[in-house]
Amino acid sequence: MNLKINQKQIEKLIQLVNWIKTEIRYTQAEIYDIVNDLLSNNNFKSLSFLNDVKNNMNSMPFPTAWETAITNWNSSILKEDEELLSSMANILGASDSTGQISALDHIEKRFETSYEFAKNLCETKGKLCKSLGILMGLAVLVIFI
Amino acid sequence: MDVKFSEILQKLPDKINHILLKTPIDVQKNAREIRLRAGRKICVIYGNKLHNVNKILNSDEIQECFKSICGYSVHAHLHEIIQGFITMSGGHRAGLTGTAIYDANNKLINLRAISSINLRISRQILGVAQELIGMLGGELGKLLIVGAPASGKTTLLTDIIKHLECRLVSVVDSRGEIASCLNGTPQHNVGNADVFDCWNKEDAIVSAIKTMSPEFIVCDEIGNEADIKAVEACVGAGVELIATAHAGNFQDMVKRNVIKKILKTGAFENIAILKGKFEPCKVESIVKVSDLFAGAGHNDFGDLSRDYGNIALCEFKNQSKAN
Repeated sequence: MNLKINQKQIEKLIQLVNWIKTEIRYTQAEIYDIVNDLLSNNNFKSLSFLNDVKNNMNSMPFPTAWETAITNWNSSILKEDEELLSSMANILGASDSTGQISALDHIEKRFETSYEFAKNLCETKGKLCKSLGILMGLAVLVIFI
Repeated sequence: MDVKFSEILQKLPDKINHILLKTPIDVQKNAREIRLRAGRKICVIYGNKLHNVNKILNSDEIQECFKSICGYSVHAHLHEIIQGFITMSGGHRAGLTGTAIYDANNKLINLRAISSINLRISRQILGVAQELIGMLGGELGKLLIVGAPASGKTTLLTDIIKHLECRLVSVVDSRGEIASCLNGTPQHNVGNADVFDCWNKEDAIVSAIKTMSPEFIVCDEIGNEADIKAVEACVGAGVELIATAHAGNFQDMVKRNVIKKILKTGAFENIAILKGKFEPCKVESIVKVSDLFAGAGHNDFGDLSRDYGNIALCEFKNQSKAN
């Protein structure tokens, strides 16, 4: 798994949840319109599952469309984060605004925890790789000398 | 497959859609309502008959139907849900009932555990108001249309609005049944009318008068105390009101104190009483409001009205013969 990409994708997912919360809170737009607006937002271009969600909605109910799209998404996120993202299928549009936003707040917090974990892992492993790289270089130098 | 029937089926989950697709074509063509009830068979009402579908819906299936009708966006329809209906594309509407949730001020704020969904199939019939327009000599303003449920009041009203398409008309569509707007677009043919979708009547009438310069304001189902203020806003504003009210017949109408108060405002000159659900959109009689008050000599026309139903009918029939 590419740690850097994982971190970036989780960051995008946090922005996604935040954006959806804003849409539900202020525009009360339908889910279909929210998905369309997400697709037209360049900020979420890397979340390719959104295209599948829109296409799937033509032939299946939204919860199934969302879950299927997540399952087929070729992402770098951890399985727990994928399940968290998938669980949004049963939140979005399933209740009034307050209920959805409250549930999405919880999901956003969990993504933020994942993001911090991914960031620390990236930094730790990054430093480790850097150190290993320097050592390898020195070893080669010593061998040649 | 009837077009209107299939429009409704597309809004339902696949499983229920496929079951209802098997409904006989003659039932589909005349279907008025599809009734979905938890724990009971699906029922299609066509004409005055019932067609029972051999499928008992459980509560999960009703909830799934509800979410599907909402476009899986319950939050976007909360205002409608509280009023007990959802407008669907094509002008159809889903009436809802379930367990009511009230807040601390005893105000209805939500429904849960939807138990029944009544899918009313909208079939706008153009030209259905021609008879009434002819009886009134084309003078449609200050008209109150009175009838029992399913007597065709809203269908008539919609056709009247279409007839007035060359005039400035504002439609106060409090329950979304006249224009049936979806994302701002009327699903029924309401000509060039400006639609105040899901507004309460008083706010809409005041706003319409201030902003839309209407010649006519049309609204559906007046009959509570709040509507009196709404109607008074029209009087003296140079706007003619066309509205409907529930009542089985003339005698039922005059028993309703709110209707009496509304008539006393002077907003209406003519009352068209409809025949009923077995002859929808057909006019039984037309009563002049001035005649209601003329003979009484006092504020309450209750005593006069007991005989007035027959008098009005006779006068109407005599007038028809003379014409």
